[in-house]
Order: sequence, then structure tokens, then C-alpha cells
Amino acid sequence: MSENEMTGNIFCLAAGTEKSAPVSAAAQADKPEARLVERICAGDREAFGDFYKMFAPLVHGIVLARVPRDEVDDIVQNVFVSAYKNLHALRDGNAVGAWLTTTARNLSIEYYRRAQPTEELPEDVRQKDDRQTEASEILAAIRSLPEAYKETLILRLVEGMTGAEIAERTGLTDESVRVNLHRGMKMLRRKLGVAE
Amino acid sequence: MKEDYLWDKTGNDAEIERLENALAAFAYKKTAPPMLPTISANVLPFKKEPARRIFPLVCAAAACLAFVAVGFGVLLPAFMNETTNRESAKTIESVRRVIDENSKQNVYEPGVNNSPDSNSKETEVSVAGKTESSKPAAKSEIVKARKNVRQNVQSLVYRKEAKAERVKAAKAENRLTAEERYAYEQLMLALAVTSSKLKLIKNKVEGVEEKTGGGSGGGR
Repeated sequence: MSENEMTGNIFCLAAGTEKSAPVSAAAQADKPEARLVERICAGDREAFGDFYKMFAPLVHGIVLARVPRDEVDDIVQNVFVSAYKNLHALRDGNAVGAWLTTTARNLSIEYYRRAQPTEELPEDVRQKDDRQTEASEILAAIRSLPEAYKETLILRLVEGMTGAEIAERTGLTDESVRVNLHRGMKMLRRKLGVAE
Repeated sequence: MKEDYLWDKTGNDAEIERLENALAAFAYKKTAPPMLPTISANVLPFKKEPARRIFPLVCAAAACLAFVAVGFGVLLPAFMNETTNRESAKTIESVRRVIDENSKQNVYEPGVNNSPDSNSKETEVSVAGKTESSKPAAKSEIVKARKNVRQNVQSLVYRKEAKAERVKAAKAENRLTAEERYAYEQLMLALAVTSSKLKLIKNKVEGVEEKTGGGSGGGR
């Protein structure tokens, strides 16, 4: 895939645009998230619970790609509170996934604006765990990748979503997600020093 | 196939599985949804701003301007009169001096050879000791001489006046102090502004009257 397409993918992921493939009106209307949005806007709090269960892994993965691990849960909660307040402004219920990812990114950026400078604990105070260390190193390596790749890889490797699910929830095309996964994985192997 | 496993977890890939196992600690753990805020759509009552009444403001502005104009109208003539009086007093004085000078030069003294020099120097001649035969001629001469004298005196007076005014104008600025000059300039400026504002108000009022159908146009 060309660089332009990759850039396009990044923009798609950033903007949360809908899939370029035409979707029939019936299919659009049948999307479960659109129905959930309707119910939430009508005041159904139970629907919001289902909405949370559906999108929490996605939002968690998006936020994890950006902020320290200890802050992820708080920011995820803030994302959903903000979504609840502003859901009425969403014009198309089918694009709620992409809209939610944009909200998650924005709140992650805002976290850094408000964050106070912190001092890291010394080595002897932190509890050393080899597995945790390895996981942290892998996560740090993924976070150092370009935006489009790191989000897709975290959703796949950390949250356990399939490529199709990632495309469905974020509003990207299957091809874009496939490219992001493949290229992201290639770069990650290089960083981790793993032979391809 | 590696790519299949990466895409939809079909097949197997040891490396990817290892990464998944390592990163599982960071995965989302099911938590309860956040406490939702109670958003009430309380709309504040719309406060209609009272319509600004322009006409009273215009009237007040016009009244202020008129007051200022009247004030200037009262002060300015007094100021101008003072200067005019000074000028007229000086002019009268200069005319008197001219007349005195001319009368002194042209007074007839019996026994003295008085010969009229030029037209500009001719003045009134009092004739004494002339024969009766030359009385009508002398009389007409006297009348002519008187006319000439008057004309010359007038021309002299006018010239003097003009000169005096020029001198006065040149000296006027020097006589005025800096403060007086500034006040004078400000006065002139205020008058100009006042007149333009009054004109504007007048145009507006006339425009309003036209819109309302001429107001009280009839009844002349």
C-alpha cells in the first residue's frame, strides 16, 4: 500500500470517519449501536450500560496507547461521561464508534495538558516483576509506533479484538486495519529485535 | 498462517501468542459503568432586553448641544464686542488726529501767503478781506474746498483705518496669551462641531417628520 493510503488511514483513524464501502440503508439502520444511541437519547439508562459494555474495550485500548497505565481507568470513565452528555449532538448513530474514539483521543491529549510533573520512584522502591517488566517494555515499544499502528496493535494484542471488530468499531475499512496490523507488527518486531 | 492469526485469530502464531499473553495484564477488566450525571434541561427564562429608546437620547443630546451653542452665543459676542470697541476707539482717535493735523496745516492766517500746494493738501480755507465782487466765486471755492477736504479726510481716515486694522490684526495674536489663543481656537472648534451636530439632528427630525406624514404640516 502506498504512503498516501497509509496517511489516509491515519486520518481516518484520527477523524473517525465511516467506512468508505457503501452500506445499505437497511444495514445502517440495523446496527446495534445506532439503536442503543437512540435508546440512550430517549433516557434509557440501561441502554447506556449495554453501550458501555460494547465500547469499553475499544476506549480502553485507545487511551492505553497514550496515557500512563494508572490513569487509563479514570480517563475511560471520563470518556463515557462526556459521551453521555454529548450523545444528543451525534448526527449519525452508526458512527458512534468513530466518534467515541475521537473523544477518547481528545481526553487523552487533555490529560497531558493538565498533568502535573511527576517524579518516578527509585528502583529499590518499585517491586520488580520480570513479567511485568517485559510487558511494560512491549507496551512501551508499541506506544512508540506511529498513531495508526499503535492503536490498532493495542486493540488487537492487548484488548483481543479481531481485525474485523476493530474495523467495525473504529469505522475504518478492513483493508486499512489489515495494513495497519501488518506494518505495525513488522515495526514492532524490529523494535523488539525479533527475527521476522 | 501468521497473517490470518493476526487478523482473526485463525491458525496459530507463537510470537503473536507470546505477545498477547504478556500484554494481557493491561487489558480492559470489566468494570461498572460510570455514575451518570443528572442533566436537567433547565432553560433560563428568556429576558427580553427593553428596546432602547433612541428618541429621548437624541432629545437630550440636542438639548445639551443647544445649551452649549447658546452659551457660546452669549460669550462670543461679548468677546467680540470688546475687541470691536477697542478698534472703533482707536479709529476715532486716529481720525481726530488726522483732522487736527490737516486743520493745523491749512488754517488761513491773514498776512501770510497761503498758497494751496496740491489736491491732497487742500483743506478748508477761511477767507477774510476779500472783495465783495469775488464773494460768489469765493463761496463756490469754499464749498469745493470743503468737499475736497472732506474727501481727503475720509480717504485718509479709511487708509488709516485699514492700516490700523492690519496693525491690529498683526498685533492681536501677539497680544493674546497662549491660553487665550487656545481658548479661542477651542471655541471656534466647538462652534463648528455644534453647528454640524445641530444640522444632523435637524435632518433626523425632518426625516422623522417626513416618515410620519409631515407631522403638523397643515394649518398655515
